[in-house]
Amino acid sequence: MPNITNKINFLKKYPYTISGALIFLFVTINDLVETLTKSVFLIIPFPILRELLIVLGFSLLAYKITKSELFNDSNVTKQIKSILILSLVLALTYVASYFLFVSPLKDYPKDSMIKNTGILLNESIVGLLGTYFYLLIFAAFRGLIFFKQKSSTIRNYLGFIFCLLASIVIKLVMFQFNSEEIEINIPSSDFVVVWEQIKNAGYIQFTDLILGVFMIYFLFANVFRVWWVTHLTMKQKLNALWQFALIFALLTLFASFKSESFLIKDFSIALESLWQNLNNFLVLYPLIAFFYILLQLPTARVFDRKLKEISTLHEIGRSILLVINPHEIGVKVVKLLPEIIECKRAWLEFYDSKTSKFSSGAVENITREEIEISIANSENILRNWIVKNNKATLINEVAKDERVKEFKNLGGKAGSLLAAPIETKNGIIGIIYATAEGEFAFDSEDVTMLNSYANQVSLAFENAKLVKESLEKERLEQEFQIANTVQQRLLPQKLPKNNFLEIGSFSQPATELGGDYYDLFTLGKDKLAVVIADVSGKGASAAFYMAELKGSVNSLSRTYDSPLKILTVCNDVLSESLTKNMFITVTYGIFKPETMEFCFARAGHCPLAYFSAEEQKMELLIPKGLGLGLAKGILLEKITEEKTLKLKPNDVLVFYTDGISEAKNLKNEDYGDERLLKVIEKNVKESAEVIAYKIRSDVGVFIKGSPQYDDITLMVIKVKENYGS
Amino acid sequence: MSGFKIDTKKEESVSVVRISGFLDAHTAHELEAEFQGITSKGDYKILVNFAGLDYISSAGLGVFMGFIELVRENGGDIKMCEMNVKIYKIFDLLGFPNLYEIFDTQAEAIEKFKD
Repeated sequence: MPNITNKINFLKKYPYTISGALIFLFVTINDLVETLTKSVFLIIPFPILRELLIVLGFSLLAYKITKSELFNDSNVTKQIKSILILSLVLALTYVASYFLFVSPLKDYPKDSMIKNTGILLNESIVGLLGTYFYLLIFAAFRGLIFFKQKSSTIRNYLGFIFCLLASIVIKLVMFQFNSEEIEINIPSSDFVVVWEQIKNAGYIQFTDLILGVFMIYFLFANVFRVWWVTHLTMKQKLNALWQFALIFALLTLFASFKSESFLIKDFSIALESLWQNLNNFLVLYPLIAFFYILLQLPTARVFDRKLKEISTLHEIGRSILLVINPHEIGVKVVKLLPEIIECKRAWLEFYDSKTSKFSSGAVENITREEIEISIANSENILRNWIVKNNKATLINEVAKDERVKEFKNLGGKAGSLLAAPIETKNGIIGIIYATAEGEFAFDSEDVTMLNSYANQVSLAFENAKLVKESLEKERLEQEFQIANTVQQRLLPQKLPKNNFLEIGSFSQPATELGGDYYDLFTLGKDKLAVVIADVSGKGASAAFYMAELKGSVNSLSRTYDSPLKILTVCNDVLSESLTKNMFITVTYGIFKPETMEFCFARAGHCPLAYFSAEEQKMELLIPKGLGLGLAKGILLEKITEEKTLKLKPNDVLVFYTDGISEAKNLKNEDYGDERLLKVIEKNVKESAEVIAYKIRSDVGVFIKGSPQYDDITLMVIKVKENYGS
Repeated sequence: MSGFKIDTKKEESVSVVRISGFLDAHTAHELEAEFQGITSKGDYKILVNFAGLDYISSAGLGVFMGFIELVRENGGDIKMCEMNVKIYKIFDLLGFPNLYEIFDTQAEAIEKFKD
């Protein structure tokens, strides 16, 4: 049972092959019966039917072939090998069949049964198997023809196949109608005669002639598709050369030999046509390929090197991506160099343009000490020449050249030397060397090679530098981000609660690290300290001073009660660390609930906007003052005034930085104190929070479309109406 | 924005530095270099004429602070003159008039250097 199932599966798996084979078996049996009974048309009534059966059989096989790997593979060397093997099999089949069925029966009388049977078997085997192998070989050529395929490639290929098929059809039609083939004598110079001949030949012959012209066109369009040759390496070309010589020999022999003992015409008219046309292709293509390879051989070495150059450059390209450590790049560079230039030793030297000094880099087959010694103990004529002229140099006889005597025995015998500068956009950073033991070991090609290699090397180094820089930048950005977070934490996270005062505030730095600072902290029950400050400059330094300011003010507030005293001591502390050209403006104030007094001092900071609810008056308070860091010692205490306000319900105090008063619009006008006072006055009835919001949006409307140049900070304090009660 | 320009002329023994345009973080180093050049020649009597200056930022103010110590230690001074109202207001807020002599006219200032 399993046997039968297997067989059925086998049938299912190869329906085309098996039905083809069955058809051929049927035809062969028919032929055999005809031969043995010496009668014709016994099983197959018409000869045309036999021809059609054969064509059908091969159509099935050909369909199967187009699905095979042989037809679809595009690996050139593999395809050539397949063609060679198939050609060998084809020739062997022919020879084997000849020696089995024809040669032993030579002495038998003509028309004897045995001899006829032998001839028939030979015909069937060579006719059927031969055609099959012919088709396989032709299929294997597809991969070669379609190399570097163009739109015309497929058209020409299909055109050729169409001609093959059309030619079979015409031959069968001729065969059926028994029309005599009429020779057309083309060389005739008389056009009319030729025309007469064509007319006499009839339509079928005429069509055959036209088809022949197309056939020649498509044949040549296909046999010259040998572009794959260029892309083979030297070794592959040599291999392909003898393989095609052999293929040509085998196929030519087969095409010529067969006529002696076997005429395909006797076996099948359809196959005869196929063989003729395939023959043309199968003999011509190997011949053209052979000569084309021969033609390309002298340039093969150059081509090989170019290929190697590309692949080495590719490898360097990979190192660029993978290696960011310059040292590792150097090691890789000298390790790869002997692969593209045949050299014994290779090394890198770095050049420092500031000190004009050379130092050893990565080495291959030589030690760094040897190079260091050579640099230290010579005038470095060659090295300096290369750096000065930015040119690669070839020394053919190192021993005879006085200028390069330090290289003569560098790391062993050095007969020839090759050196090229490594140039980046910042100038020459080093030199790459290759030496060989023999003299005249390098040629001009090697110089070009080393130069382009040096270019890649410089790219690699430059890339490594860029990667390093971008990593550094990324790290800095991260740290900036951290600094920004820390700085934001210096500002009050939550406004303190006070029974007497409402508080509103707003702060927005212009850059990641601003210079504005404000703070509010409770010193006792409802006793509130208020700080607003602007550190000159922005960025990291401003952020540091801000932190220092916060620390000082916070601790001093708990020691001293006087704003002036606190600012004076603060100035002493900060003057220690502030650089000469930096300063900080601060306004510091303390609110005492028991007396309802607000006492403040202004160390160079913006005025304090004050709205007196009792007098319904808006004013800017500018007591005398000096910025922190401007002067050391007692000068600040002497200049700066302390001012005390007696607060009443609904009074409003607005602290701000110059980011508000100097906010600029597109016309480059300042927002100014006037506008600020106006917007405060208009909103004094609102809560502190709302006033802060109104000021902020008023500034926003004013600068609309213009970038924010400076940090903006704002703090609004409003005395509650029913405080205490 | 208009750029920043410096023009220094020696008048009698005083180096008169006329500045105009915008003196901010981007241009402060130009003035710094100018002061560097003047002081390195041994000239410490510097008069800065603000007539053409439209704007000064804290970085610009820092330049004066950076040099005042050196100049005064060498017996010289940095004096200022012909400031427009806006610029003077900034100087005044900071308390600069307590530290630097600021004059209305250049002549007055040069005269003062003679004392």
